[in-house]
Amino acid sequence: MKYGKAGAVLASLIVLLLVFSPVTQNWEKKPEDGFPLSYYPMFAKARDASEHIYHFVGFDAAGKRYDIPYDMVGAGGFNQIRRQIRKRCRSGEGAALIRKVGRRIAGSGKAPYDELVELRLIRGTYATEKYLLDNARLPHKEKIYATHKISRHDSAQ
Amino acid sequence: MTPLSKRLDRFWFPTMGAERLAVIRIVTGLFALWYLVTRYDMMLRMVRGAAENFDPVGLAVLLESPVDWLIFKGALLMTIALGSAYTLGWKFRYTGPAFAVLFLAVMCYRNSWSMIYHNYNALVLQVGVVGFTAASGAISLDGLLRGRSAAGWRFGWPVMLISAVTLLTYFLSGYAKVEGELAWSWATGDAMRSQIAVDALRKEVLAGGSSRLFLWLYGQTWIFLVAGLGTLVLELGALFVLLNRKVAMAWAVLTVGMHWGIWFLMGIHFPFHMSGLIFLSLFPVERLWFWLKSKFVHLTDEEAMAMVSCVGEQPAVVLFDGVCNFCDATVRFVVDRDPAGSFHFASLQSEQGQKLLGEYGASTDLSTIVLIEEGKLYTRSSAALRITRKLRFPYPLLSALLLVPKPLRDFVYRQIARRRYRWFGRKEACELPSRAVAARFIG
Repeated sequence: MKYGKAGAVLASLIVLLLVFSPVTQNWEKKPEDGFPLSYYPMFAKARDASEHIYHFVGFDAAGKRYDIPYDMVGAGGFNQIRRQIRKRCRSGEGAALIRKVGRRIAGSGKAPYDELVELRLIRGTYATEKYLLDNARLPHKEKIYATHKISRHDSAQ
Repeated sequence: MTPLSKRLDRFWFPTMGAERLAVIRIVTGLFALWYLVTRYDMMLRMVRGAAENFDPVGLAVLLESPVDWLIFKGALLMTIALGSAYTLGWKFRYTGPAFAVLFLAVMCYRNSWSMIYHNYNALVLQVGVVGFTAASGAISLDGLLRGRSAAGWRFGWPVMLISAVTLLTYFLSGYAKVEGELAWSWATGDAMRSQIAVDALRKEVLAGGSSRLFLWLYGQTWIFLVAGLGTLVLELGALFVLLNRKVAMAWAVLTVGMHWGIWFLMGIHFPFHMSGLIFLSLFPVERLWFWLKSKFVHLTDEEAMAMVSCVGEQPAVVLFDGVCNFCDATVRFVVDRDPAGSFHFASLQSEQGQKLLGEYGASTDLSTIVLIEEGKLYTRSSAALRITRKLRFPYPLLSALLLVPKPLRDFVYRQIARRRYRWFGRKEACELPSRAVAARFIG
């Protein structure tokens, strides 16, 4: 496409203003991020000493506990799945999600997950420093949103 | 035009060969195709997921609910086809804008499933600018049909716009940090440490592990002070680096390092950024194309001119009095001591010489050597001494004379210049330069 200099200046100004426009989200009470026009809020939020994480845990017949990795929950990237789990928990759709994940796990054929007998959808509260420095792997607080008994028949459904 | 508007004009509309924009077109096109093809299956699985996860952003806000996955599949295939035409520069007048819009739409839809991937904003924005500008002027099927390369401001401003848009996104990122809840604790490193810790924790729980390097570094708080402060300086300083080409290039190199640091510490992969391809507009990447081309065919004068007339780009251009024996000997002296090829030459009397002088609004005075370097024009002693800076050792030592007040330096220069014909003689016309020197001549 061809532009005169005036057209090029106008096009440049419009593009630059558009790209810069999300800066106003910094001053909003409830800012909203967008794509591809973003105000890049990553890493701008303060973090508490403890972190809530919505995730799945499974138990085998001996009662041993396993954290379920995100790629067994759905298709997409790590943070995408993490957000989807949180969103569905908060909107009361945890029961539907856990059944779906239960079926996927039962049919995964991946050890040790194919040996699990129970699945829980929880919000674990973890002390960040203790987890990373002292290897305290269990949440110090846990809220259960849904539970699901995994049946070997699940995989056939 | 006032001096200020002239300066702004030269800044935003630098004369540039079509090749740099073309290289950006090819690289962004290939990158977008790589993204779409390698994530094809994942995206189709994703859009067939629960509609409850649909959280539209960008152009996707026009949709009330997700579209049928087959429609998305069709759009994806069409985007890949248009992306191929965009990369090849085929019927670019139509395929460029069409790909830019469709790629934007597909990427908005892809980011509407509960997660925005900020590592692809810049790619979408750059494709947007390239698609709507004259990016098929070289290294393209369209250009092949036209059979000639081009140069001019039409190819310079899109490159400036791509650079400005890219740098602006970094500034926004830095601004959000200091304007957010953490404010200036980014400058102390505390904020960075806490952010990375939370990311590591989430990955330990949800992905079965995080960066081993981070777990080791977590106790070393001073590292986060340096990294946090460095990040903030790079991001907030991004807006200003465009004013100086060398600073911009140094900034780009440091920023690529920052992205590698993020990858080592957090495992977050920014392929467009980590590869440095996001910053192509800040570098004279067309020189790589010319170098490749020169291995197979002889570069035309037009192409050589396109390469050197990018304002602010290497190599610098030396204009000299073509009928003066002394000036002629000076050029040979410089060529022999400039193995890196930092300088190209034209006589002041030549058409190209006059054209360059005109572009910089300089007088056509033949009594001075002229140096055009990094978008600036130097004359007399300033030009001569600046030239020595890029010559083989020990000649750069002479540039220390730049510390001498300019009027004094120029007085000495004028004395020599005034007597140059008497002392060294003159020719009736510009002589043809030798083969070795001719390769460095423009025009």
